[in-house]
Amino acid sequence: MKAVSVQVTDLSKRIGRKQILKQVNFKMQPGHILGLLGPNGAGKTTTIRLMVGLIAKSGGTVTVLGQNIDQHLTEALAHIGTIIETPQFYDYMTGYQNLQQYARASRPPVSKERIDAVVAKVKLTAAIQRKVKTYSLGMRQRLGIAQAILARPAVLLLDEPMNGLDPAGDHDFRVLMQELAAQQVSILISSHILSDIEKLADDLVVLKQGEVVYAGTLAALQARQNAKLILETDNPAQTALVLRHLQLDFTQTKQHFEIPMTTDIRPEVTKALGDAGIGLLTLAKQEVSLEDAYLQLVGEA
Amino acid sequence: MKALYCNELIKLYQRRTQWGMLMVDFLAVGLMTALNHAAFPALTLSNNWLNDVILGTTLAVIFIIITAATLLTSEFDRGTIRFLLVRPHGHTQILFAKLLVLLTSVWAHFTVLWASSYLFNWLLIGFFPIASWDRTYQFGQYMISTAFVALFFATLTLLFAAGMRSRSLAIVISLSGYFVSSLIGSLLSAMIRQYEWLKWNPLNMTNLTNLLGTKNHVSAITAALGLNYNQMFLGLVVYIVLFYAGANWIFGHRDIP
Repeated sequence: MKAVSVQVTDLSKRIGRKQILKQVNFKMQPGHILGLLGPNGAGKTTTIRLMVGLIAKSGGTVTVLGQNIDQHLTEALAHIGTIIETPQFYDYMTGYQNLQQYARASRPPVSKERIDAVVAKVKLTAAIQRKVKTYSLGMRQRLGIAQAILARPAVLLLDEPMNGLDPAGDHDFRVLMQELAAQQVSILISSHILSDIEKLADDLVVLKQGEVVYAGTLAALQARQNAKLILETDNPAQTALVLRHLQLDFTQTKQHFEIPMTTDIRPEVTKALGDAGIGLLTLAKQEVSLEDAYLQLVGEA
Repeated sequence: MKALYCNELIKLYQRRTQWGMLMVDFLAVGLMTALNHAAFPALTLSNNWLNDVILGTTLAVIFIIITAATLLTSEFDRGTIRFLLVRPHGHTQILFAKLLVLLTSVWAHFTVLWASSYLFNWLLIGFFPIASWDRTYQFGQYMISTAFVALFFATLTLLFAAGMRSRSLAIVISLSGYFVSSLIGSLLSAMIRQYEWLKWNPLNMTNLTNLLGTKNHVSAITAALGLNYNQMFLGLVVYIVLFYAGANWIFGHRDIP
């Protein structure tokens, strides 16, 4: 049985008559990166807020390292690092003073050496003694990441952590997350940037209108969506007849054909076209991207 | 708790406005001492003390109300409330650390008033004329009573701030309360003769400093307000505790945006 660091069970949130979250279930595992996806208003940020007790649940449970947050919120928070939306700081203080504030309030308190190491890790050493009000969005985001990992949390909950990061920052962030995952930290990343999630996540939870429409591995999601066979021939009319004869669904644009694949039909198609004397110009299997799979799930294709 | 208190103290006193407020306290005492000395050169410190600090104490109460509103609402304004609440400390501990810093702020304001009163009298009159321990005791009692009235309004402000999360609204309501309390209090005191239970209304407690002075004065005011000094002091403390408990309950039970 796989270890579970965070278990979210039937998590619900209702505000007035509006059901914001409906019985959300998922789990996080040590060393795994979980991508939390969903369109605007799907409930991603609400889920993270509920997981750290910033807002009250209407139902369900959240356990962190075996501790139910209803009874042991402060104990659970000692193991969680988080970014929620845009990280906010005391602008009139330096980046370092902000981290000191966070370090003092952690349990156990964080040493000066650890602060320095984390500042170096997020490449903010040159600016750390400047007041935060002079920081760019990307620098604030780096400081937010530093603050989230400062107390060596076992669980990281990051809401849009790549907002405002430049390409180098984006790359550094991915490397850092992979390092932390290798150290058995459980990481949840909510993001709109699907390509980043695709590069990072082992597991996925997709929310739509407050409901989980997919929870599982990224590979399983991509596998369950149909890949496509891309075909171009020198005789489109004859090709269409052959494909119909093979009882395959396809879409055609001039000499370009797209055929959804549940199994590998390439040998069968190649043979049939060859038997019909049709010349093949292109034959390629197109894998489903996370974006395609995501759009199919949330119905925005 | 020590770490939280330390954090709150740093956050408050890294702001220049806090030091500016203490400077205004200091200058207000200096101004009033100079004016009193110019107007009544024959009076000594023992007679002047109250007049010297009266402007300063009024300003200090206003500053303490502003500080109380800022302590909580600025966290919501900046969005740093999330930064605070995702650390392993409960809402109660966080608010209590803020209360301790508020008490520190009250102490700082009244210490500055007290010390500057000594300093300016020494500068203008040329000595520390502690005429009698009686007068010193009365002065101390006045300062402590005013500090508790300030704390009454400060915890009331915390209550508003926890409920409304708007700094300006919390400041406006609490300052309005402070300025109209004597007016409403005097209206209510007229009704106290008719409805005795009204003597326990919170605004009546803010008359605490009126119960200081000569015996005849104190007797007349006690009769009018329906409470003696000790009863009113106790009432003030009870309201401070109730306001703080209310602020704590609201702070712990509302969702954080």
